[in-house]
Amino acid sequence: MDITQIHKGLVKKEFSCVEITNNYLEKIKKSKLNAFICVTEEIAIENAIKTDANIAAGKRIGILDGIPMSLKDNISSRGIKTTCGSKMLENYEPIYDATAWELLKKNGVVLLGKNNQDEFAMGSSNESSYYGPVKNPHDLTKVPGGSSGGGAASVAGGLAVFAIGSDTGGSIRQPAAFCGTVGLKPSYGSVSRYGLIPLASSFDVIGPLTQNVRDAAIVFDAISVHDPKDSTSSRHRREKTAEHLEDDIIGIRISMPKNCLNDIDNSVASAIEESARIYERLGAKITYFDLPYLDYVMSIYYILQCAEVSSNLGRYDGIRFGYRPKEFDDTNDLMIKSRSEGFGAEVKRRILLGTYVLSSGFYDSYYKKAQKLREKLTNSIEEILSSIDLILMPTAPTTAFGFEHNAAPQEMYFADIFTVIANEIRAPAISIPCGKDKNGLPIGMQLMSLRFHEAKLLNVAHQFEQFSEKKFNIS
Amino acid sequence: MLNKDEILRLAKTSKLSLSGENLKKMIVDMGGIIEFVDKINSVSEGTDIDFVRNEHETLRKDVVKESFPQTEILKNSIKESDGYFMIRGHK
Repeated sequence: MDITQIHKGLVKKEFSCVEITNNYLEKIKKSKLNAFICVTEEIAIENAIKTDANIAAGKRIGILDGIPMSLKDNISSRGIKTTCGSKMLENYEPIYDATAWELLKKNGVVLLGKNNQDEFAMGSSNESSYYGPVKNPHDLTKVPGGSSGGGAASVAGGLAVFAIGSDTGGSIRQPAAFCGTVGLKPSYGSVSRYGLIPLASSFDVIGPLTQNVRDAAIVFDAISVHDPKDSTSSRHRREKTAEHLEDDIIGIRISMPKNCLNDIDNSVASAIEESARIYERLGAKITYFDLPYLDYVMSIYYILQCAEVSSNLGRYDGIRFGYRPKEFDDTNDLMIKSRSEGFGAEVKRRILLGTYVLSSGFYDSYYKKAQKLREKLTNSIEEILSSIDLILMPTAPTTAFGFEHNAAPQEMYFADIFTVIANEIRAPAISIPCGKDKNGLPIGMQLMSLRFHEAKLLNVAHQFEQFSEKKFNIS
Repeated sequence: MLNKDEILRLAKTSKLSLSGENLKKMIVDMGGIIEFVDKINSVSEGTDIDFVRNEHETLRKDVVKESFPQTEILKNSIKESDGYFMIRGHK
């Protein structure tokens, strides 16, 4: 059941909030997906009782009131462990709530627990979590994608109605594609980052993983608010995107980057081309272009992201919070041991790369050059988007891959090649299911628009979903 | 490709210790990653732009506001005493 169906059921008293919450908690207990790091059973029941009491008292409840959901474990939740998938924060309990979480709480959601993720959100397969990998509900031998793999698996596996994730280079959209859910990465500045434990602050965004586009719009509308606690939170006027889902899309201009369809799985390329044909039938005008700087988007991303990582993760010193070793000689030794024992291999690699690209002698040729190219890329794509409405491309070059792989770190990074672009240019993008490969694994297509044009993005995604549901029977 | 000494220097700056197999693997991994990011040095254009976008819309006024209570802030420290984070005395 999606958000609207549960809302209607609660209002009509077809079931109680406690009943459905218990149902989800039971499913989580029996699940083999390892999608949760912590299950907040008591809080969930407490929240559900409140919703039921409000309904019994005849109060009007909001659309998100009583909806059982889950939160990625890098989103601060007061008094509830927030580990970031790391040994470093195994016992860390934030003393404040992230703004996005605070807004959802005010809307009355029921928190089922905190979702597993790649350590500090660094990964595309959920294999770097200190708490073990998450499994893909469509095939337990396959990865769910990452880093919000726990959230995507929860939604696809029926363990939560929706999940809140974070996306720095594709961490909402790529697992959404691998698990067959919808994943929205909002514009940078649309949703407050306050309380999101940072990976790379100029890329990080909080967004929803949902069963369908309407749910994504409902959740996005609830969390997209200007926040004075985040200096990068935008003050632009926000439209209610859920009110625009049924807008007519006849004549909409969608462009496909031809060079994004080379060297990818045939099944993915065919599904994207078929999606374009569906849009044509829906009245869209399809054109083609070559995505500028495609050969460099990954290098730009990893240089800048790791530079920000090396700086952001400097806070983990074993003194104020986080892991601290039992034995150490002096303060320096305390810091070195805390970090060396508390961080996993992928985190260390990225800290070292970030330190390297920021170091004297390399700053200009790596960090500064990547900043300039990020700006060039942004200007080029914004120019393309000024004469069309949306860009359509694959979310990931492949479908979900198996756990047994020997890929080098930089080969793994390519799982994000099509998703990093939206983070680099700070634009919103959404992944929606558009088919399955021969093994029955979901394929995701990605739509991207100009910054802050979420209403149009969700509208066009919703119209496709309405049509394709009948065609592909995607659940 | 970075050699062992260069990796160790980066690790020292980053307050990380690496040794044995971890160090050997890191040398190989970092070699591959640096080769991968080095690709941007094959782009000749891109140097004619100086502007780097300022994402800070407006900074809030520098007004002193009530913050978190000291007891709350100290909650996540392994050891604290008299309102201080304790390092020594932990052994």
